Amino acid sequence: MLLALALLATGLVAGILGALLGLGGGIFLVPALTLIFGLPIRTTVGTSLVAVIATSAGVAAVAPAGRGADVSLALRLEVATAVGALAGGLAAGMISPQLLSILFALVVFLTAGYMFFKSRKKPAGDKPEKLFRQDYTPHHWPAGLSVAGLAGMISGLLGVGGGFIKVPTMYAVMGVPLGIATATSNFMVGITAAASVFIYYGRGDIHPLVVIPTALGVFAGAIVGVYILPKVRISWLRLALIGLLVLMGVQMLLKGLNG
Amino acid sequence: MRTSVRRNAEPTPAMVQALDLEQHMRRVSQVVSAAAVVLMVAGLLGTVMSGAALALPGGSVMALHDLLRLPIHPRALAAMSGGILMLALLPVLRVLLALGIYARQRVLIDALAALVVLIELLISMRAGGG
Repeated sequence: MLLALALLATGLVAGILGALLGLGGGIFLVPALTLIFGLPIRTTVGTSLVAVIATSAGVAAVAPAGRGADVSLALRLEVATAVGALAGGLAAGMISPQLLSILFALVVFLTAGYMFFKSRKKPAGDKPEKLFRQDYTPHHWPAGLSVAGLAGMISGLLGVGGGFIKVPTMYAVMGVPLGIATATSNFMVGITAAASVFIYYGRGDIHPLVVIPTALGVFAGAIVGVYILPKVRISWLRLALIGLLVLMGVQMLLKGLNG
Repeated sequence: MRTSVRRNAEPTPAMVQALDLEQHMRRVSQVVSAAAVVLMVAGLLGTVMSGAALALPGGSVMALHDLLRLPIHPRALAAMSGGILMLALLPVLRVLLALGIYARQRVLIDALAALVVLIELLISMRAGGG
């Protein structure tokens, strides 16, 4: 029972941190379950994928009308993302846990770099940007589809949503407003995770005693995070969490290198 | 190429249809995720109450084909596996819903994209032993 509560608390913290930083909880969840609970990385990736689906479903269930995803854009990009996720899910069963840990560490470092870049970037112009403006036309589809495929591969392989790649690409490359890009990414990560979770399910990498408390914790944490977001000074928190990500990345790298 | 539903600030028929799709998806997400959570929590409580010694990571989920032969398996494990499976199937349902609505609206490019994604998800289920 204590273990279930500890997993619930871990999921809750990962969900809150993920929501505060605009990331899925997986980037915190996989290292936490691997390093603190000593679980095999494939089990933690499978757990993270179920948590990603739960969070995507939860946000879809409570999102206000008109603030939802651009389903049309999501499905077109998902054609490439789902292929990547399928390939990533299959590849995860063939490569060693050590290599998976090293790859995860690299993605953690990239995420920390992205967060650092985001924290230093000043908004352009005097007028605040409309997050959900409707008059846009997505462009640069080849670049968007390529990045979506890569994000799917990373998701299937490592159990993270890949929003840290998709949102900046939709926003900066394809010209989608930031609010819609974020909502669309959230819609997509559920489908992407589903494209690889069945492979983990069939391989026996989904363990209910780990998955259920953790996914419930992440789901609740994501909702709590959305509510406390306006009350938190995000700049200091972001810097602290970049430090935490780097620390976890180093631990995962060492775990991979030392076996 | 552009998406078909988010073009103008005016409430065009396309935007109304997009909101309609959004509402349907919200309803499906609410019903299926609530049912999945109830099943998972019931199964987890059943396992904890049974007094079995719990150690991580514990047993794996039931295989997809075994879920169809429920009576021969422990009910708590079946409930937990069924809840997880239901949650995993939710994105498939959302894509199916989008396919149906886009096909009804004759938005062929989006219906085709939804169909391709649905086929990819079915291939994934097949690869997972479904």
